Amino acid sequence: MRASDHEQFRQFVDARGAVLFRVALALTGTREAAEDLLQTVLARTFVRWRHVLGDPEMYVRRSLYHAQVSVWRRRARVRETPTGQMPERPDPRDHMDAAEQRLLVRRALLRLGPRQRAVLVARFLEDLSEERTAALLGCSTGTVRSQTYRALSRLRQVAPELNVGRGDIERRAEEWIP
Amino acid sequence: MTALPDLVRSELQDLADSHPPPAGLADRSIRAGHRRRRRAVAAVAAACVLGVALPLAVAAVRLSGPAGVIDTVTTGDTNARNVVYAVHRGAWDNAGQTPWQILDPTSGDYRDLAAGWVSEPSSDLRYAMILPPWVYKPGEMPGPATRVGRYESATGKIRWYDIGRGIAEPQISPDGRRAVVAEAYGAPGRPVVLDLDSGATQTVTLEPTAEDAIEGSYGTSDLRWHPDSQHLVAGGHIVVDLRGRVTKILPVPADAAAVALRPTGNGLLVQPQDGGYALTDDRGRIVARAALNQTYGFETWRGRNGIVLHGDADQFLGLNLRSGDLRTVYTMPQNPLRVDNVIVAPADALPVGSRSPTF
Repeated sequence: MRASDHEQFRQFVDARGAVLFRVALALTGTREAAEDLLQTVLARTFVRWRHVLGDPEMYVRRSLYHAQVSVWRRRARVRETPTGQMPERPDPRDHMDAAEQRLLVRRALLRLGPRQRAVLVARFLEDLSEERTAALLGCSTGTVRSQTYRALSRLRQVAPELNVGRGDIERRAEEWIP
Repeated sequence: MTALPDLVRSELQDLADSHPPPAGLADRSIRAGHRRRRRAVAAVAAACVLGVALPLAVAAVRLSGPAGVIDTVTTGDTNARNVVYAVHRGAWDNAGQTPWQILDPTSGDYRDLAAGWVSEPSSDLRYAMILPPWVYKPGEMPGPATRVGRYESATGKIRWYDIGRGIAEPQISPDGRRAVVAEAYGAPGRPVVLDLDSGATQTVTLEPTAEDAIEGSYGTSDLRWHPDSQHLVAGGHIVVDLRGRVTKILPVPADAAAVALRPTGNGLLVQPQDGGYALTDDRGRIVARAALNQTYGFETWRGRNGIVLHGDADQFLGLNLRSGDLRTVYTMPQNPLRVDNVIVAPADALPVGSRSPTF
């Protein structure tokens, strides 16, 4: 690899690394996992740098989403063990302050499967359109809508005390559920 | 009232901003990339060295073994044997593809294959399902695989089937006659069953009970074949027919999680809350139990009463659930050939005296 390739790669990471790290953080949920994921993907990108020069960010973004899913292949085999005692949950009628609500949402997000989290990150963090999300994940726009709805439903299921309203996106996505 | 999508958006942004980007990311990635490149070169060099010593019957390079360490183990069950069916190397070859090495059970050698995915094999180790390697083309947004292949272990021949939409994680039935594939990023409750003789496909619509059990999983990782090859098992304990109708729900003991159906189809392998693994009968009663000090992931069965677990780092462990005997049975190869994935399979169907390196 030529010195100019090194320099181009370095410039790319310096310019876009922070944005890509945000995506990795949202996909994985922890700093350590995000660093691992992003470094793995960037190392692969570096090895193939001359081939991806046309649009390296597209390559890295797609790799981030798909690499995170493949990491789950092994983890998925260790299933969640139910506990004998349910943790105490606040009564939804009680006043829930914003901090509590955010904590509940974050915990619920981290309990989603990789595919559902990926759809939410693409739609709500990256603000990608349904068409762009479909292109990134390699599926139809209908699948993006139905998966968005399923992911939001799952959040309500794992955190019923949230007791929050539905937005236009959720209502529109519901129309795609068979 | 705040809408849930707004809360999700806000929380994802907070999560994404919760840590600054790591310093020196570019240099660390370049160093990791160099290591990756060196491993690729070493892999090619090792293959060439072995290739000189071995006759090349086919274009692919054959290696003489899985390049790992097999630790002899006695389980008391003479039929309990396993084999490393496939090894996935992390290094990329010169074409940018990730190489697998897959066992030829007739010779005991391993054959190289560039593939995006290799499934666990059929019970006779004759076939496995594969996905084509992902090839990146500049300026194009690559999608998931739309075709799936049936790989024949003894010859390396591949028969391809076009599914016509993005797919993920194909799994072959124990009898090798069917495969189940998931729609990539699609509804987990609507996998496709593929008849490997005729090529006909049938979409399975899982009943809500079964669909709930695999909700949130990717591909078919929570949907497995039943040992009879006529049913699927969702969430480790819900048996459905190939139309998706629930035919049986095996009871799971309180404070335990279902892991897999037992090879006989009667009873389960479960993970009790306080650790270890246990076998249950058809009525959900625990009939054998082995405690463990820490959690190891289930890989595959080892006879009827034993399992193979993924231990720390590069080790696979054999656990006899009747005796509680736990020991290392296979250690993955070390650098310079880094390994990303190892598929360990039951080898009960191999004839005694087979040249395959069983353990």
